[in-house]
Amino acid sequence: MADYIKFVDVTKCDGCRACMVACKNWNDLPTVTEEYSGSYQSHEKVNAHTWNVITYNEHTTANGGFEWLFRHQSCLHCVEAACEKACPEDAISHTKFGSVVIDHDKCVGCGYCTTNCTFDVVELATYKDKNGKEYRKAQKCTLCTDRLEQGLQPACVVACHTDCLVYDEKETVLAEAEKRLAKIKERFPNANIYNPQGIKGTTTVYLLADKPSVYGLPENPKVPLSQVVWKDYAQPLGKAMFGATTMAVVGAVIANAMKKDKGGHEEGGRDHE
Amino acid sequence: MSNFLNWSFAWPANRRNLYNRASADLNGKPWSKDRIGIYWDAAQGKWVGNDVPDFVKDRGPDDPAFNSPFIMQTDGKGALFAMMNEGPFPEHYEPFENPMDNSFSSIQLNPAVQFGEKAMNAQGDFSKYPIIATTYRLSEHWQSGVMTRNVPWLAELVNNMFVEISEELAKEKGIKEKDKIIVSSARGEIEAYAMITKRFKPYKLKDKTVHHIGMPWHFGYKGIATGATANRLTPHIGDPNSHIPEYKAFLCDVRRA
Repeated sequence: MADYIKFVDVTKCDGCRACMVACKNWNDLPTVTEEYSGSYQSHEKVNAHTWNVITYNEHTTANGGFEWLFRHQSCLHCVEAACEKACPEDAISHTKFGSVVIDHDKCVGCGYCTTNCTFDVVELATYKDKNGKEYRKAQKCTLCTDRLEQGLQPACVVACHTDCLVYDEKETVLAEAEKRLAKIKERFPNANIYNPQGIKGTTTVYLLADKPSVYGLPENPKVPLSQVVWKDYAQPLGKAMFGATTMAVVGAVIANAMKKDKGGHEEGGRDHE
Repeated sequence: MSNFLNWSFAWPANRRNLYNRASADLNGKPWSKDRIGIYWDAAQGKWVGNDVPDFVKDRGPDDPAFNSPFIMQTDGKGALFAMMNEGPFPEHYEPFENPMDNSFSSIQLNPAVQFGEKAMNAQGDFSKYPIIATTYRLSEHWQSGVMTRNVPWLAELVNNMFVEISEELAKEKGIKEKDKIIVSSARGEIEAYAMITKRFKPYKLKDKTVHHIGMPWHFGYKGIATGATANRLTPHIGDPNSHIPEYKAFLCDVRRA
C-alpha cells in the first residue's frame, strides 16, 4: 500500500469550521463550550473532546500588512511520536496508515503522553463507570483510522469545501505542496512546508503562510533523548531484569494469564447459549 | 447551453431555465446551434433538448398557448422593467441614517423607499449617533439562529453575541478585550461582548473621521446559545423593488456596559 498523508494548505482555509463539526459528528464527541475568547476562535486549543480546532490569528506582516491566518490544529501523527515513547503501558502505537492511535483497553490515564506530546494535542478525558467511579483515558485525533480501514477519507477532509484539507498519496501531496509553495511565495514570503524532520516527518503535512512560530508550532521539534532512552532501552531492560530475577512472580503472571484465557473462553461459551 | 441535467436537481421538475419555450424560435428551432435549450422534434412529436419544458411537451410550436409563454406572469407576456416601483435607470441614494450628504444627487434618500412600522423606524442623527454600524451573517449560524443556535456543535462554535470594534475605537472608549459593551441606536439598545479586531479601522469620509462597527444578527433570547438581537438597532425600511430591509448601514453609539 502506498503511503498516504493528510495535507493542510492553510492558505486555502476560510475558517468555516466544517472540519470541527464533521469531526465531532463522526467521532460522536460532546460539546466543550468555553468562555468567550474575545475572538472568533471557539476553543483555546484542542482538548479531549475537541480533536481539531481552527485557530484564528490576526497577523501583522513584516511590512505592516494584515493577514488573517487560520490553522486547522489537530494531531500531526508524528513518525517518531513522543507520546508513543512516553507511554508506560504500550497503549500508543502506529497503524499501517501511519496514524498514531491510543488503545483504550491499555490506557490507564496516567497522562504521560499529554505532558510529552510535541504539539500539545493529547488530553485526558474523565469518564464515570457504572458504579460512579471516575476513570481517565487519553484522547486525541485518530486520523479517522476507523474510516481509513473502510476505504474512506478522514471526516474533516471530506467536509472541507476549499480543498485546504487533502488526504492522498504522499508523493502526490508533497509534489503539490511544492507547487503551491512556489505559487504563494510572493504574497507570503515566509511561507514554508511544515514536515519536521527532527521527528522524522509527520503524517499531517502543513503548508504554512508564515513561520511555524506564528502558528504556535515548534520550529524544529525533537523527541527528547531521555524519552528515547526510557522507551527503547530502559523499559525493555527493566522488564528483562524483572523476568530474570523474580521467577516466582513470572510464574504467577503466567498462571494468571492462563486463568484469564480460560475465563475468556467460558464467557464466550456463555454468550453462545 | 451548458445545462447538466444529471448534476444535482433543480426545483421544480429538474428544470434549469424558466420560460424555456423562448430558447427556440416560432417554428421550434434553436436560435443558435451552439446554445441549444429545447427544440421541437417533429418526428417524435415532442420538445426535446437540454432542459425540461415548462409546458405540455407534446404541444406543437404553433400551439396558441405559446402566445403567452411567460407562465409566471399574470398576462403571460415577457417585458423589460415591468412592474417596478423605481428604475429602470440606476441612481445613487444614501442610507436612511447617514453622516454624509449625498454627493451624487440632490435627493438624499430614495423617495420610493418602503417603510415598515413607524415605531421601529425612529431616525437617529449623526450628532447623537456618530458611529456607523453594519450587520452580517456567520458561517456557523443561519438567519436568526433559531435552528442553528439549538444545534450543540454549532452553538459551541459561536456561543455569544459579539460586536466587532476597531482597536482605535476600543482605546477611545476605554473598552478592553472581552468587556461587555452597550450599542445604542435611535430604535433601541443591546448589550454584547466586544470583539476588538484589526479588521475594522476608522476611515475618512470627506473631512470626517468615522468609526465603523459590525455584528452578527443570529442571536435571540431562547436556545442553547443566546444573546442580544441586532435587529433591535436596525431601521426597518426596505428597497422599493425587492423590499430587502436596510440592515447593512445605520448609525449608533457605543459605550462600556
